[in-house]
Amino acid sequence: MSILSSFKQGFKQTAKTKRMILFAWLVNVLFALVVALPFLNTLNGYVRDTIMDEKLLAQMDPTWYETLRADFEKNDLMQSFNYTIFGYAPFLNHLEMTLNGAFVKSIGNFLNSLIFRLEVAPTRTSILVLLGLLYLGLTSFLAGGFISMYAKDHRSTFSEFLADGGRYFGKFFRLTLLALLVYYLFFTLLVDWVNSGIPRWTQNVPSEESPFLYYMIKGGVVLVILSILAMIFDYARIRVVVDVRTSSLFAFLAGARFGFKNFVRAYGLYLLLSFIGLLLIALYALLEAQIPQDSYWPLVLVFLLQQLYVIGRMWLKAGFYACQTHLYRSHGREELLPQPAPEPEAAS
Amino acid sequence: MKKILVGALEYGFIVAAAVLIVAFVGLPPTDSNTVQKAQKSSVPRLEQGTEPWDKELKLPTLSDRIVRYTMDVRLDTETNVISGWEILEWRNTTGRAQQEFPFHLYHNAWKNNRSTVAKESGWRLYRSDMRPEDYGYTNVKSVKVLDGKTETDITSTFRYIQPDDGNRDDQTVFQIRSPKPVQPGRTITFKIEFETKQPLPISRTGAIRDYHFVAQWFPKIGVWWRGAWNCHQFHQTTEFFADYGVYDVKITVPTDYVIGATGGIPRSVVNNNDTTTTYQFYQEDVHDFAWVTSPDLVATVRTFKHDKPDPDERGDRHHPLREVTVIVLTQPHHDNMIDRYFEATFKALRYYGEWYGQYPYETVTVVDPANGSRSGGMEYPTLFTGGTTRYSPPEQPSPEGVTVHEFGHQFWYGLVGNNEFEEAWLDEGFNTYSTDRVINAGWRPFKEARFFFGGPGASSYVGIPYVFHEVNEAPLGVSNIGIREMGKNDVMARKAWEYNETYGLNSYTKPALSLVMLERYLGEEMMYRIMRTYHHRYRFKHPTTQDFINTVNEVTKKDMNWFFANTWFSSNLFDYSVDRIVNQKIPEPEGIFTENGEPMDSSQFQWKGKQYVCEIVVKREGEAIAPVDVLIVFKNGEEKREEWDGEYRWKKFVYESDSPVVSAVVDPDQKLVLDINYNNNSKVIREPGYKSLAARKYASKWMFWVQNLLEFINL
Repeated sequence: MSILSSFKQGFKQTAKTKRMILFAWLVNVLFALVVALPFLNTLNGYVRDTIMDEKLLAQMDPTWYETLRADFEKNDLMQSFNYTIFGYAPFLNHLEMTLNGAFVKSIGNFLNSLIFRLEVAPTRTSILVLLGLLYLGLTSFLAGGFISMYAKDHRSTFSEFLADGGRYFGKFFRLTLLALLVYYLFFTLLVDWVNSGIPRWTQNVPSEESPFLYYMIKGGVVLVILSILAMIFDYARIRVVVDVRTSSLFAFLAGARFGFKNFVRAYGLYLLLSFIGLLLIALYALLEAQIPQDSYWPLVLVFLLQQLYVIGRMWLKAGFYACQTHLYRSHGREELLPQPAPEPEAAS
Repeated sequence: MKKILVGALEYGFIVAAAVLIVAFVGLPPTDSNTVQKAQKSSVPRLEQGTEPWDKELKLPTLSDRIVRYTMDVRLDTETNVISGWEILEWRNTTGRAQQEFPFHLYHNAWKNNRSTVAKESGWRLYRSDMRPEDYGYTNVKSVKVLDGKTETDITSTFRYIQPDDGNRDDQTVFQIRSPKPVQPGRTITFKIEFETKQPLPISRTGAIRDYHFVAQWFPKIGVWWRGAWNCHQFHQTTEFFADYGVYDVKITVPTDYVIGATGGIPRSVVNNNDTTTTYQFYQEDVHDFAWVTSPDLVATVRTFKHDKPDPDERGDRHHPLREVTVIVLTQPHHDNMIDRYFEATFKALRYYGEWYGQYPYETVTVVDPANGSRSGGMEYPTLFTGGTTRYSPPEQPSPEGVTVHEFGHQFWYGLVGNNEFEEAWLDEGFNTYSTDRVINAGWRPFKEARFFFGGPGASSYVGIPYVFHEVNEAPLGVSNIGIREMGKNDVMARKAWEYNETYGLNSYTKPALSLVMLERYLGEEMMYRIMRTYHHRYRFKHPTTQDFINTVNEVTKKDMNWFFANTWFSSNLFDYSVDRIVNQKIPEPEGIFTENGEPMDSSQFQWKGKQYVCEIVVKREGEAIAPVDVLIVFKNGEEKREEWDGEYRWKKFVYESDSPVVSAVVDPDQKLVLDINYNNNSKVIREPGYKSLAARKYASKWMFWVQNLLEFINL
């Protein structure tokens, strides 16, 4: 019952924060455009003066694609251009990368070489990694704004949202670094070992069904662990705001304590919200597949659809914060004294 | 103040995003930027005479049958040892007396890490988990010469030889000496007792669990070829070469084991008293014998029939094909792939048969290899191995690609028996080219796909398949990028073990692409005639590269040596490009003019010439040379198609026209498939500020990919 109640209350609250959600979307768009515009210029320069322009609009040409990759062998952005841009493959691709810890390990390796060896390892440094790192900082900022907004009993203004983002940024960023460390250890010590073990453990089995099963079980287990960790870190952030915690480590432990003490409720809510995310992806995939993408206006339509999806995704992210904050406030503070809410500032 | 700052931040973000999005999405393209669709050039059309062009072609029905192997062997499934004897009758067709005879003992490549195969692989046998009992070998126990009722033991003359690299530790070739020379036309009979221990599968052959794939397993005599014995050691990259003949083989295996072998349906089956069964297989006019056995194999048998033309078949090319019994032996977990194996084999039987000449044998056996057996994708007479994963989606050519390819080797390797050691491209390249033709005729387009959330399994990549419907699979399943990157390493025409890491490139990709190129230069009909003639002429023979070139020259009635000099006998690369298009508007008349002897000033002068001088410069960036077409399109839709011999480094085409040139393309029909960069083959004059819609399409997809990526990086 409390899951649904938190779910409903949370989304009710997000409806009052459309402006901030759109702001989060703007941040995402701007970040993406920082790399997408040079990417477009490079691609445009490569193809515009050739007859491939017309051909490629109708159909991707694998020979052209291989030539492009060979011509831009040392260009990180162009090397990240692959067939997973099509259809709903981006979601599968990124989920797979998440399950293998590709982001975490890239960022971790980058920071590792930067901090401990004072060098920027050129083979590991991709523009996308740097962008991801910066984006992590910004999402810490935005998370502070969102959670403090949902922790209050009154409607926040945009300037409050920004001010709270700034207020909690330090603590949230420390939490993000702690999360990075936890995930990094999880992937390098455990997941990589399993990944490298599966081919060895299954090399003499009679059927590929065994390795398939191993990989699927591994993927499922990693997904569950990652979602639990993500949930714990969400509650750690909520705890920082609601209970005015200063230590990120203790906030993490407190988040874990709350998560496990109220596991059914907390994880049930997390799964429900994740299910909404899946529905969003399915809806996007369904609509995108209906649009023929070989002329200008349909392409504009797809672009709009993509941005609508990202806005939806931002809304969902806000929903995660709002619903979990509501759940925490309903069940997590029973033994604590109520904290006075900060005074609202004048509406901007 | 704070309010202003917040407002500035928020609205600043909105404005910046709006500006950048507009810059990204851009405006709709105008018609002036579209390029006229070029008409396809005509490939040479062949006159259809009153007489069929191929009335002189006769398909041989019998081989020379230089060898006859009679064998009786038994497999011990506990020790993986095959023991028994062979009687080899060898007929001397060499034109001279012979007394020394080289034999292959391929299994000794798996004996230790000092064999030439191991040496060429970095002193190892491709796998790290070899225990002492996992190595393989063939041990020749005795060799006798049978002459009527007398037997002469010549085991003492047995010695290993290393004709290729002098590696004393390599025991993959041995030689024996007969008591007296064998005169031309006479036959010598050897009886060889041997024992072959199957290795843990390393490459192509071996035993894993209770699956035994048995290939290159018996002492096999070399080939007298080009005036000498040709019996190469086993190398890391080489395949095989042997004479045609008859195989009559008895194999004893446990009764509960399913067996498949060259020859297909056993001539006799005898259940023994010791829970074993002896199968007798018999096959004429083949040059090798392989077999497979396992209790887990599932046998399905269907009949290929093709007596009347299919609706899509050209009447003048219809050749009734014989019925063939197709035996598919699958792994139990590949039950969902049985129909696909059959469909691929039937299509291959049909197209190879129609194009090159009918498949002459009664049976063909398709083996779905066991996981980890490393025996997939390999060809043997009347038997071949496929390979697939049960997760292969129908849009992906697995098992279709490998099935068609390995079946195709029945024609290129099996029926036309080139020397795979020395001229591997004559089967691998020809067959890759043919495979692509069958895939095109039977299925295309297949799609690119990827397996997510998986990884390397026992012998395949497993995961959840995702099909990229937007991307057709590359023709030939390969691109010419490999040629661009490594093509200069080697001339294609080299011995298979002498390449600098380009065996695959020069045995498969380059020759196959060369044949596609030849087809596009000569036309499909001419290529059909060449390949059919070559196959008919050299069925059951051992042709060379020069035999093929001679066939090309003869059938085309042209000297095509330039083609082979630039492709097969050169490591040069093809790369043609359009360097520039210059449309110069001829300026208004200025100065003093004379008309009919009368001077006049420029305002009175009537210029009768055209408005533009258009220059197009095309270049040869690579060192390889081939004639190419150049297609030039003018703004008014007019097209000019020029021929360029492609020899000098560049060529300029100049036109006076009332309409400027809007595009130029070198090789517009992509005949030159070996061109390593097709992206520079064209130039199009666009309006200033034109943004490619294709670029916007892919960039916006990529941007969404990045947006999504950013949201997944959420700690």
